[in-house]
Amino acid sequence: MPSIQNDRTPSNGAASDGAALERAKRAYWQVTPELDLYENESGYLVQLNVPGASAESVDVQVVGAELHVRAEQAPAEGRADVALSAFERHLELPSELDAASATAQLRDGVLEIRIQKSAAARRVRIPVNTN
Amino acid sequence: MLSRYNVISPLSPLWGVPSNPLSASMSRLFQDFETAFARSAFSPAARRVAGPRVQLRDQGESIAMLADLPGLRLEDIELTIEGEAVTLKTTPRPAPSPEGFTALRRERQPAAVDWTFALPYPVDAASATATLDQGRLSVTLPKAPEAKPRTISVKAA
Repeated sequence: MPSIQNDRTPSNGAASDGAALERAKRAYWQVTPELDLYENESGYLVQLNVPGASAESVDVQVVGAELHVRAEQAPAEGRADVALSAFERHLELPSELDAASATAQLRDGVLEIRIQKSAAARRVRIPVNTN
Repeated sequence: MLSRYNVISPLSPLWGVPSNPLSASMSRLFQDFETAFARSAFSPAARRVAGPRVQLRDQGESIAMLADLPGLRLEDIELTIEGEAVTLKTTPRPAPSPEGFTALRRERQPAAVDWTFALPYPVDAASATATLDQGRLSVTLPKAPEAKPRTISVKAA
């Protein structure tokens, strides 16, 4: 298992905005979703387990080289007394990211995010002149 | 600390008599052993079960069962009811690694379970419903008619 030095998920429930306070008021279970992280030459692929998350609650933000993901399970009508989970994960990726290129898809409770590395962070092959 | 090894009943002739050092230390030995054993074997951490989170909630007229099974589809889930027990069995398909990528971190495990839950009362299997929404399985198990409370009218004799 690779080290988790670049996992920036806040452990004390603090968040960059008031959404975490709202979630705490509604007594959500704060869950850190498990993820799979893949890399290739041009970008990254992230898969997070967010079962039961509603599409409108998914919030993916890119801050520099960090990816901040939040999602919540939607309350279903007729089920008042059910514990709902709020998922949150902050992940720092090894290189800077091109935020405009990010795509996210939610399928079967798995959130898949594809994001490209920024142009400056890509591998460039430098030709060698021999005279 | 009191334990059954060193409590002497007031009715026995030995009550109040100071015990000899050997039996006192033997009692203390059993006390420590009992405490250590109880703490390690029955602590919550040792009994935590790994796997998907499942909730069972009694909602009066029915039991709600919610299971978080990410990445599973309808054909992977098998739900059976037998009297007062509900069994959840999942067979996830092994997910292949995406092509052209190298894995940096893999934390996700396939949610494979074969769990049977005992219910507090019999449920009506014929009218049970289950839905799978984004990997979250919601099951409603209505109480069986024979388990519902019935008021009995009392007539004057």
